[in-house]
Amino acid sequence: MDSEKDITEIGLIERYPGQKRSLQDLFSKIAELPPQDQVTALRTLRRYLQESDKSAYRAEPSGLSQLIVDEKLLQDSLMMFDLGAGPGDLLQELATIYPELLVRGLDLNPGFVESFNASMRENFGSRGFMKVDLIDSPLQEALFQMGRVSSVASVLTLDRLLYPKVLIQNMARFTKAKILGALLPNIPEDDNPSRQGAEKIIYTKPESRIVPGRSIAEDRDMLRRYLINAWKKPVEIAEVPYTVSSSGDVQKYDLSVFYSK
Amino acid sequence: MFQQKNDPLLGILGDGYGEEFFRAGGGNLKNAFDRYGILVLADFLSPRAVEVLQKEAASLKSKVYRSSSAYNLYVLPFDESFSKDSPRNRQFSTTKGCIANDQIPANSYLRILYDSRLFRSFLCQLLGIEKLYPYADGLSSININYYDPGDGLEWHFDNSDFAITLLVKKCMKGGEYEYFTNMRYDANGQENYELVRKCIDGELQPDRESVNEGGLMIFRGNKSLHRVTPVEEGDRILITFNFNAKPGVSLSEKSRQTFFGRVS
Repeated sequence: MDSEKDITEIGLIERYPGQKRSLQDLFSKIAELPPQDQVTALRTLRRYLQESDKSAYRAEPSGLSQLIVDEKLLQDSLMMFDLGAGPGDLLQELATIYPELLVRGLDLNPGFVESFNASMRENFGSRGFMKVDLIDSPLQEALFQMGRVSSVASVLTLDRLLYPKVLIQNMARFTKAKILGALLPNIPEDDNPSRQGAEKIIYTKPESRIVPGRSIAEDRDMLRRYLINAWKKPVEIAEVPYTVSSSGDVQKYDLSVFYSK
Repeated sequence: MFQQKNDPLLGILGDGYGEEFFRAGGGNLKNAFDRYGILVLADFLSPRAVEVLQKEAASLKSKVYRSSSAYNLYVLPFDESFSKDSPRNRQFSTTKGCIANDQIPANSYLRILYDSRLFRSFLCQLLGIEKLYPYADGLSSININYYDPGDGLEWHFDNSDFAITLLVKKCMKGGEYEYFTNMRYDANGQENYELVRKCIDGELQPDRESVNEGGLMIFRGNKSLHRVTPVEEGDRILITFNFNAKPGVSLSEKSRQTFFGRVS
């Protein structure tokens, strides 16, 4: 997946025919963005596809799922939505912990979506599935119908979006628990050292950022206040360990989790 | 109730729908449905099933009966105790084409869905009904409705307690579903004509539901004022699945004559 040609709508549909309609919608949404943002979105997609092509990305979310269990965040939820679910590690773990929970994910990467759906069908029947979509553009209205009985999470996404405020608005429309996991300070650029020779991507333009990314304390305070205002609920913060394996690197993070019940 | 491993419905559902969804969803979604009066299940049928239904609907289109009918919001006879322009008596209209139940092939996916025990069990839980029955007449249980440019369905309340629709084809412009939820009656259970007037005079903004192809909508249309705005570009195909809570009920002959051009 090295050339721009590889990420045309047609090229991706040929690779992932099961995602045809979602990919058509995705490319329509990208086409509606301002020209510079289209460039960023397509570069992001191209780079992100490498993660599923190499089966190189895995998260170890047990610290986060333990917090969800301890705080009883899902006790009256029919569904858990993960916006930017990656390979779906959190959803798989929660589906195992909660035998009645339905899980749903959205992610930009059709490779992750297809492998998650195959695994879900095999192990959990119709309890879970994922779909290709941008999480920082307004989501399909029908999704929010389910949002009335659902919780929502988004982890390690805030610094990887063109429009992080739209993600927060999308999360606000889910009426049960809301869980945002972020690295602080929140720096909106891809500086992964494992991508030799890759051009650095600045995901979020300064005017679209929620926090300035100067210090942990400042970002934590600003983000919390922003979420309280957007979600209209008290927001608590916890730190949990979160490990990501990506392209041969193992990165251990202290994930800052902002959540409302 | 939900152990229906051999239900053919499972072969045409979209991702994320199946026994587990129906089992978990029936009870849990009921509270939300009771509160909001509407439930949309996006991508309820698989893209392949939607494609098959689009082809089937296209092949039947030459047989449609086109109707244009005028009615008041309550679909009731004129009430002389109110003025002609009152919300009670004001006239609205619908224009569309319709394929009746008896014109739909026996092997249609629409029949698989309508006859599915799994699906009916889910609906019963959601609606709080013990059992669902098809219409006793041969025309009304499943209908394919065609809206061409200029066609639409103006403001009204349904007579039935609930409506179940499946969008098979979305038009390019217009054809939006608009509604005011659970607003028909006032606190004393009386018809709230003043609120209805504000709704139809544009003083209040309706909710809008943008359902995609393959999306299933369940709606309490007898308490919520609703309409489909005129189709402006392209065509819209909507299936209505009609049930009764009691056996042996037929649609009135007048309605059958209006929508199908015949009574049997």
